[in-house]
Amino acid sequence: MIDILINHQALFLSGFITTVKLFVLIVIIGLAGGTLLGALSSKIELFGDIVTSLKFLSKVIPVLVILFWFHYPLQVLLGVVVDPFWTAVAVFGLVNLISVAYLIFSEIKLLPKKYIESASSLGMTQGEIVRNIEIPLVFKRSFPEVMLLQATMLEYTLFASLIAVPEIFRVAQNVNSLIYDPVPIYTLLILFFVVILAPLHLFVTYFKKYNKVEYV
Amino acid sequence: MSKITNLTKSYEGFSVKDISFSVSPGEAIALVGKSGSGKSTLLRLLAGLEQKDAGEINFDGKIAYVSQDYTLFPHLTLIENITLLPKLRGEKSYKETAVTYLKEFELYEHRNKYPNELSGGQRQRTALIRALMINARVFLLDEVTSALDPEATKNILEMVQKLKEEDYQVIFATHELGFAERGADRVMFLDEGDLYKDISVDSFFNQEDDSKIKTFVENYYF
Repeated sequence: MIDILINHQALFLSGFITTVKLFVLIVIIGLAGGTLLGALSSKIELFGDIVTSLKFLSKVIPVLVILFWFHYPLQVLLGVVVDPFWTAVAVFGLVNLISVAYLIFSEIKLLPKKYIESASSLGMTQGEIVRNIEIPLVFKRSFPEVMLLQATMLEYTLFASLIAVPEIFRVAQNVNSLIYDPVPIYTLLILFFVVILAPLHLFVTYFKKYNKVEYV
Repeated sequence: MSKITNLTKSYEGFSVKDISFSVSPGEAIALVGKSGSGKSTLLRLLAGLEQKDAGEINFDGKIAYVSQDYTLFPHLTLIENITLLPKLRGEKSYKETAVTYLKEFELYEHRNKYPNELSGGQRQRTALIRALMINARVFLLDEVTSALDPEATKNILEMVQKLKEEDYQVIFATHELGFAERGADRVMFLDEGDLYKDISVDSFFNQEDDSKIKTFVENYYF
């Protein structure tokens, strides 16, 4: 296994970097845009309706179909050719953004009004309520789900190989087609995902156990 | 002295009508009446949680509203709950004050627990300490004993009596007439949003002339 890794280190490194770049961009778009859109959705009804509708669409249309639709038909319709890497960033970033926005929006809607009233009756200003009550509560309650969603996004990056993005899975397939030694190659792939996703899942489990917030 | 004059609020199918009363330092008023008589609405109006349609509310000092479900902030520990506002205001000796109250009300050993790890009585006492920590002079307590066992209710009663001794003004809504009799100096009997009677505790519980009050006491005093 180590031999294969060393012999094809340039290929694996480039696949690894592509996957990491793809994942980081998807996470940034999803977390930054999703948090902002989720917060806006709780204040502006139209935004809430749009997020809810888009979330519904993302549930009923498989993400791979969305990716292919953006990669082929949409580009034909618009008469443009976009690098597959950026198509993947746009599609997975958008799916992440909508999903994060929906999680934040739902959590804000679930936040009992009584805590806001209680803070207000104690004399806290609107800004203090947002900073000390609303944001921490929404963050603590939505954080585990948002993190698990990012894990799913990393898994989604595998689909990018199907539109010729040279990410880690495609590199593994290419190397395998060159030397045909699937056991170590795909085991390497397993290790790659385990090393990244196992700590993430363990951290989420720990966070849920010790930072769980129950409305009482 | 705090003074409320002609306080009015109308909702669809219900209204609190033209209520006036005053409360002096060291005095406790019990708001009683059947469910839907307007007790909680009146307290929420006084707390500023509902907008009044008309009337004047002049409180002699800062107010603190404690609701029936305590509403401690669930992401903060007991000590964080009671020190949040003094900390935000940059007050100097709030930690020492908090420790004093926690010891006085037998909550010190629970200071690092979260609200869901506390009993109902402990949560209620925490809510009252939180109100004391903001230097409130007027306490508005909405059915604070409704979910408590007799022991915890007794503790709250002792707290109300202590507040009176220290010249705080207390207005509490309750279904428990025994609690009203022991904790209040005056009773305001609400009936369908009207202030039907505002009389002393003794007069209220020994009412012979007013059949409405007499029947209410007979039916609801356990």
